[in-house]
Amino acid sequence: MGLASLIARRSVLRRPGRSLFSILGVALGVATVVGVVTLDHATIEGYARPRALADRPDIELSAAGGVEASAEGLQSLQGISAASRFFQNEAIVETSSRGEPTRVRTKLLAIEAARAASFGLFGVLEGRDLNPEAAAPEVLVGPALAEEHGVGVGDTLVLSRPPRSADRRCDDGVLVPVDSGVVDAPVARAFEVVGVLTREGVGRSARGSVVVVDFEAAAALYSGVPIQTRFWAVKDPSIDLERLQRSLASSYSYALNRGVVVGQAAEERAFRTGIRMLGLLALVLGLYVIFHTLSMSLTERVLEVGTLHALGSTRAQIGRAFFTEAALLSGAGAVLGALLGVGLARLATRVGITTLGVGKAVLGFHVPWGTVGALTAVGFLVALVGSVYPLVAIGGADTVAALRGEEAIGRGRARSRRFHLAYAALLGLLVPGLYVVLVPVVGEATGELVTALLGVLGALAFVVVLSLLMPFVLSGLCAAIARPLTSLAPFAGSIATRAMADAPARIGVSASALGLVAAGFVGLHGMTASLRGEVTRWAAEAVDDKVYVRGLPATRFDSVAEHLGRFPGVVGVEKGAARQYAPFLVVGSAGESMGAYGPFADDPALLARFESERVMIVSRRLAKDLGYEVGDEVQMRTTGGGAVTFEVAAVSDAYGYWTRPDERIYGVVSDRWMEKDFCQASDVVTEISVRFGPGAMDEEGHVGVLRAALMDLHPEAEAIQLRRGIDVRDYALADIGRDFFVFDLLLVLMAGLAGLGVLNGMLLSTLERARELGVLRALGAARGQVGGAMLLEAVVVGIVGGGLGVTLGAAATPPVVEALERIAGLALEPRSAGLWIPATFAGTVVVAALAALYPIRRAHAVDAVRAVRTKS
Amino acid sequence: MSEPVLDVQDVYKIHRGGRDAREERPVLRGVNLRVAAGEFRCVMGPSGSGKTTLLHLLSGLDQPSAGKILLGGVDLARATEADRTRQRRDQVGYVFQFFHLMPNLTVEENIALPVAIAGRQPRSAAARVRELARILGIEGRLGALPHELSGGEMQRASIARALIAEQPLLLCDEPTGNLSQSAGREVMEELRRAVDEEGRTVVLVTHNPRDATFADRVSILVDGVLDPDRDVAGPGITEPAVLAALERASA
Repeated sequence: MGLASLIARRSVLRRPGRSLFSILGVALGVATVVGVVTLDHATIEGYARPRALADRPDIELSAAGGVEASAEGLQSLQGISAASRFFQNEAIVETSSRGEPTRVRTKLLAIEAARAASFGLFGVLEGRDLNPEAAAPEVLVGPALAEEHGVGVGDTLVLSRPPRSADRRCDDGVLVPVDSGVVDAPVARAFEVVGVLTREGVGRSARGSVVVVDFEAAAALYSGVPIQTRFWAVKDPSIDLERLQRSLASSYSYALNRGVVVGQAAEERAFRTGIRMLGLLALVLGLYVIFHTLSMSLTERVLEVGTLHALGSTRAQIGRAFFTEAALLSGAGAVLGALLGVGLARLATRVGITTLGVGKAVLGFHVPWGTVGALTAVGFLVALVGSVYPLVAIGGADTVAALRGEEAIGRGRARSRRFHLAYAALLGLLVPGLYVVLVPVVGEATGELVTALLGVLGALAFVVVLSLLMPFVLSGLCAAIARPLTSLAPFAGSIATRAMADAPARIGVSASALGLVAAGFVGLHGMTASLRGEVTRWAAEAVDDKVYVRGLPATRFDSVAEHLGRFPGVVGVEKGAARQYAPFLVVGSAGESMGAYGPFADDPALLARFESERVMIVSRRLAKDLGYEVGDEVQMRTTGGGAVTFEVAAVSDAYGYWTRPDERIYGVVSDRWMEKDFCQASDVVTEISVRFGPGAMDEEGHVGVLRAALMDLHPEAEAIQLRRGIDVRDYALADIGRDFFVFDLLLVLMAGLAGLGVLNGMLLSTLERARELGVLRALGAARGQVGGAMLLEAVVVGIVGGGLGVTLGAAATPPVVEALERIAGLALEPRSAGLWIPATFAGTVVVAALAALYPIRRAHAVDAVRAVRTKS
Repeated sequence: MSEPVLDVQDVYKIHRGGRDAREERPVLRGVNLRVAAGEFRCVMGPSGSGKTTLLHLLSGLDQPSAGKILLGGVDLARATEADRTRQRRDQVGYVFQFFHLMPNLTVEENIALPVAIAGRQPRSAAARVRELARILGIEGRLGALPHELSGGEMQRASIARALIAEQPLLLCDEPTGNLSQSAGREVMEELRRAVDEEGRTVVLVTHNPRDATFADRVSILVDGVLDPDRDVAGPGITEPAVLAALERASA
């Protein structure tokens, strides 16, 4: 065993408390960031992929009326990286594979063989894929067709479209047959079977009774018959969903493959970004703690350094010993942290905690081992770099002074200041930089996101610079707070005051670490208060005065609206069933029953237009997301294949919101257009919402009155369900609390980390001052007095850290909310964290006080006899 | 007189600083000292006379403001720190007043520490460690940690550490200063044995006249000056003779 190994191993093993807390410092920092990244990965993989339909690309589109669509045109749109057209229809397959001619009705999928190959829509079990350059028509057959009819590679199939049935069209809300008078003569063509599909993707559609052919060849079969050409598209992963939606909104209706876009919607993205920022904060905090633990451990061990040097050890040998020790601690901490992080993520997913909120079940558990490994290595390396400071300080240590028991690390101050500066830069810039490189940014790297990241960096840099470069500011503040207490507790006050004034670095780091977490708590709760404010504002307009009714026996809307209108407090009734996605949610309702509230109450002319013209009331979120303003035109494709244009007449949430689906991006049109353009008759309803006058929903009695009114109309109906709008609002508010509970959990973990920093600092200080404490005991100081001094010190550090944190957090809330507003596209107003500010302050003081308990216990164990017997 | 192991020529040590950065405080003023191989030299003097400073200069831990210190043919006054460290490792065994055992290492590991510092496996010196422990009467304490030892045991462990690497020169700084009279006597007997049986050279700094009686020659350091005319030479140095010399020097 060499000198370095001997010293390092013995030091680690013989000082279990210090080693344990040092390792825990690194471990908690790495665990938090690894946990966050793993949890996010597991959430997206486990939540998204299993729900992704294997036979669907990211987006399926059809062009709006009047738009000449092509795959090339789509590919030129922002947010689309690949596109291909297709259509599907029924086909007749004639085969003689089993000797006798057989006609089978099957599904035909026409694809662009050259483009669609990369979409992974199907697999070929036998034979090969379609050749886009083939001279003769080729076909792939589904597994059921192959098995049931003995069709194999090399066979010839004759394909044709089925005889055309009478065409129908939507005529003012009624589907009517159309007689064209033309004799139907389907085209038939021979196709060579070149492959059999696997039983997955397209091969599973129509239970495997499917044929896949090239688009042009298929189109020839359907010549003279309208076919609905649609497009598959793959989303460019670097572009946000909202931007893509904006690109498509005016020209295409589309359906998003939900599985692929999980975690990409505005709120989800903001949420995940927030969690990752907390992970970053934890990483910096953890490394910050270990850096100072390792740094301060030098002071305690300067006599060892002096002795080794006096015995002939070179500074390089001593440096190697410290470096080896730091490597052992950092390595153990990083590995433990990685395992802990993965374990925590696993535990979190099991109890339904995800980076998309709480209460969501994810399937499986996917770990991004590459990223986990890289983050572990970053944690290890940065903690190791932190240990360079002891080496730097050793370089300047005065061996003679150390042997005399005097201040030995004074000459290297200028050097250590430079090192502190470099380390501050490392923590402030390199760590976030590395983090961003290792962990892909959620969503598009927009200017808003960069601004938000810079804001977080600025807060970090402020605290790091304050504690690393100007620690005397915080320690001086602590001493100033403690000084007046000397009149109350002369011994504890004076000892604590002097201890804090003498250790600016330790006090500065402890206070700022606590301050960072306190700032996080206050900032977070300021942010959630803003989100709650947004929900409250929306609810006041959209749901607070409503009651949602389900399970109504089929009833004519006119009669139920008239009946309910007679009851006191009821000012309007809305239909709940007439809905269409084209491409966003469009809701149809009767204007006359909504005239007493919202924009119609303010502007009767608007109500008249709503009833007579194609106008739309768009929800506030739809207007914000797609940039709609009053007067804008919205193109929509009708059920009959035509195109219609609606004009945005108002932006309001007063009408149309429905609880299922919970969709705040929608438009409201007159039920007349729902019938005429989308063939959705809504005269008879089973779901309605009833609007009461302002404030009515505060009284439970109105719900009873409403139930009685409905029972009056349908005495036999017992399945009627009523849900108050304020309950919907409360659920939404509780949902914010539930989702952001993850943030609280992370912050609690970080509070533990900051507490560990305080504990480490106090523990090292206790060890360093063991002789002094022993002498005090020998002079008659009671354990309680010594412990009281330490507790006082911790409480004062907590007060300063908490004060710094809540001030910083409160100041950071408006820019954080603004950044969130920009990232998420939510209409937010900055709100104060309210009671969380004093609670966070008190919590910080409690954490600091708790952190002092173990060092106090160690101080109690100091041997007074030994302290007075030896010089050190 | 045989070839000196240590030759100190006209050494000055001036401490600068204090409240006034320009203030100069001479600690040693033109010290000359030649210590022959196998000699047991004691340096005595009142507190603040510069004894410990002299020892730090002899070990190369500190450098003189002027003068030469030749140790094993190398002038420590002009050597780089790396060279001084090497000289200390190869030429000097050090016994401290406050023992300075490594708190995390067992007695056995502490004794073998210079072997590890020299780049050899401590295991290779296991037999020698046990032998020294037996000679010094701490063979039963080899597995103990320093804080489990008495003061005398700690100092004997410290002496064993100074002897293990077989450096020719032992520098001892008040080795009995924290020990009882009987423990102090045992320690001094061990140092004497190292000279007589192992041929080591010992430079002992002490203010205890009883310790000085173990030396071959006692030099008196007063106000940073070492006057050879004040030396007390053996054999058979007695306490009264040492006290008289001290009294004369202080007069």
